Amino acid sequence: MRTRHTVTAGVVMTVAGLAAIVIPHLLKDSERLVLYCAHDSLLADEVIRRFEQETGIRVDVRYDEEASKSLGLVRLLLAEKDAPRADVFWNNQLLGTLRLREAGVLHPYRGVGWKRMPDRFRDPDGFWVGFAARCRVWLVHTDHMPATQEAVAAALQQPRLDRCAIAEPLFGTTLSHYCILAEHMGLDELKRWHRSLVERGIRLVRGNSASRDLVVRGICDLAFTDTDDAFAAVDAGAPVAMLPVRLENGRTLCLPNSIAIVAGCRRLQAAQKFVDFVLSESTEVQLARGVGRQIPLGPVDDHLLPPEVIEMKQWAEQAVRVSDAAAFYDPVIEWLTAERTGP
Amino acid sequence: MTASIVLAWSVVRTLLVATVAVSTAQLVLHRGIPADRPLLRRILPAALLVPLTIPELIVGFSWRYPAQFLTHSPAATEILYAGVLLIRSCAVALLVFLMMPQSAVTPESLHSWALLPDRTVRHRMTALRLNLTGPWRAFAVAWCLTALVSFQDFETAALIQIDRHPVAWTAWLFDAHAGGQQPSETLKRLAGPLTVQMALLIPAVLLIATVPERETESPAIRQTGERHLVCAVAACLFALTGLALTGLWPLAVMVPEAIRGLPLILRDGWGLAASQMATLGFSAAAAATALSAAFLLKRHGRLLWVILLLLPGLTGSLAVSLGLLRLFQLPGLRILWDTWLPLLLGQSLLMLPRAWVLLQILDRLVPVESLHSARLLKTDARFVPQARRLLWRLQELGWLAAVALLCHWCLWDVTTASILRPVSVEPVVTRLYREMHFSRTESLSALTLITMLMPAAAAGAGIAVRMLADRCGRWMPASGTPSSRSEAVG
Repeated sequence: MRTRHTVTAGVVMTVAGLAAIVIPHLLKDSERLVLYCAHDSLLADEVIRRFEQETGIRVDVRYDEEASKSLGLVRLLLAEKDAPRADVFWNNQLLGTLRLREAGVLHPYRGVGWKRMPDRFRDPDGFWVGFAARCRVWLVHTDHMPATQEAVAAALQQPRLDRCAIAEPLFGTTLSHYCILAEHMGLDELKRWHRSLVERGIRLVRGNSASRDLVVRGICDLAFTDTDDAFAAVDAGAPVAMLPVRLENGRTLCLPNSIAIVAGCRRLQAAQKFVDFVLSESTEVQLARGVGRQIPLGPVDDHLLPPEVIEMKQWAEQAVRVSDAAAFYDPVIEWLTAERTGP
Repeated sequence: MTASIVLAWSVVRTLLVATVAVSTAQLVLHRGIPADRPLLRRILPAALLVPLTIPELIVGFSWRYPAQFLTHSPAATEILYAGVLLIRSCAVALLVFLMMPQSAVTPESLHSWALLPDRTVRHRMTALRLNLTGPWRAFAVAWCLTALVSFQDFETAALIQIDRHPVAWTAWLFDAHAGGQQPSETLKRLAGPLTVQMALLIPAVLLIATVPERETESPAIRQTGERHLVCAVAACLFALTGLALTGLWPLAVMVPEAIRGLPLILRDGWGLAASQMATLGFSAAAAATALSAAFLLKRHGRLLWVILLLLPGLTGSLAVSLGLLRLFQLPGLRILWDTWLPLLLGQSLLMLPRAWVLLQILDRLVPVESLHSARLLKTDARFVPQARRLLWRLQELGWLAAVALLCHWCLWDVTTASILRPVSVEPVVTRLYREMHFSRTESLSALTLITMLMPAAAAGAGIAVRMLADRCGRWMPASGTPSSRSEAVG
């Protein structure tokens, strides 16, 4: 009898618990915009809170965790394709967004934000728009070597590269970097170059912040990283300097954030408002003045920008077109995955 | 590097770590703790068990930078990683030794059996069975569970970069998955590791099942009473090293920053409190669910059910999360995807094996006679308050501690939280994980410290409320009724 009572109580409590979980979800405010955001939460939060204050639209954000650790928002969006819960995807780079566009996950929108961006940083049909970019840079420990392109080139010719670091190229902006290199020099040449780096002992670490930290701590003399990671070291007073990574033709690597509306989303109007807000001049200026010093891609008043961002705008103007490297996304991932996991 | 090489590397590491950890734990208990030093006998095992309560995330982050100095030496990196694993594994082995009862098969009976002239296969098998259910049982169970814990490590491996040379299968598989491998392929590649885990789990469960209910004998490892100064010093050094590697070093890194960062995070008082309370409440729900399920399983479940229900949690957080992600994308279940249910289910499944082990420990800690006496006392209306206090001390306090510990483990589970959480609320641990990446150390350290203390603080509050209720109860009329009496006796 006692057991029966226990089981009945257990069943009642389970049903009540499930109801408590599911019913609030069914009744929840359908006007809350759902944003998947791969950008640094410390910076994106300020933009999102400003949007909420100015429009009165509440935003639920799902941030990405560190690239090497998280399942990845791109993969999550692909998994949820038939029943999306996100309305907008704010990616901190472009190639993953291009993959989503090919998979039919995105919805086209050519609003005022799309119109203010240059052609090379937007999709002609409005499936995505690039904004607020970062550049790939060399971070150099200035106590150990001069911060010049010549010194970096000489260091790369050394038989040993154990004082040089690069993030694991299977993830993040280093993957975009490799795709651009594949497009520029060909996949086979890229493989040879990569093999040469590994054989000479370059330090492969998990993420750009880890490669930056190796230089900051003096374990390495130079490292590939992004401008936002590099500025964190500069702001902390570390003896470091940055130089733009250039291809043989002198072009730089400028990786924009990208924003897109998810196909089949439930709050299309709010999503469009948010996209236009993020692509506005005020948001680009805000991101340029933040700790990450993101480079504005649309027209902005230069007086509002910090001097280092004005200098980086020139780097951005010399950049290759990232979307041209999209064709190499899958072959590069396939090769790098096979390198790690075998056939 | 192929799946089979990665698996082989992980298995070899597991075998070595488990063997060294079990031998060390046995040595510490058997030889290292002087019988004539009661204080040391209490402190040393407690110190060795501390690493079980330090979240892997914290340990991994603390050792992340030192590990960077070693990136060019696979041997040094492997030694560091194996050392961290060894400390945790040793704690697991020690816990098993402390909770497993002493063998009912005496050395005399084994010797008598060995003297029998019969040398048939059946005779040998019986001898093996007698040994396995006798003197070898605690050692075998400790070895299997230690190996399982060591084999499943993911967070530490990922954070100190055990993903290439050396490599851990968990970090390797996750990287392959995050790099674009299809989920079906990931689940297929889990077959090998799953087989290894089953090979470790099934013998352990079978051997635990041979322990009679309510075993009252003393623990399997006795202190000899002899003084072994060298062993005692070695045991102390080992305990101190464990504490330093997994407890003191992380605290030394974190606490000074946390103190400086406290004012920064207090500015976001309400937002932080809401987030912390939501996370704590949810972790507590998952912990209570796991403990209740383990209780029902222990009371009514058959061995096959026990194995089947414990199995998902033993495959690790990645496999559980990916499995549930796929499950909740099925047409009929999609409506539940953006709720707390997937995460609740995921964490409960993950915690179920640990809850089951905790219940076994609680059972061993409380003498059945005392519990029965307290229940009998409750049937007498004159002694109800005293009986309640006794039952609180003997039973409910243990349950509360178990929920707090499970809650602590749930709270720090990054993988399940990051994959299965709903959009509307972010668990504290995913925020910590993400922001630690950007090195906002002062406020983050403060947040980390607060998060670490939360389950203990909640348990403390629970104890205080219960004691207060007890005090108030003294002045209230006793509530023992005839019907409740008969139920309590039953």
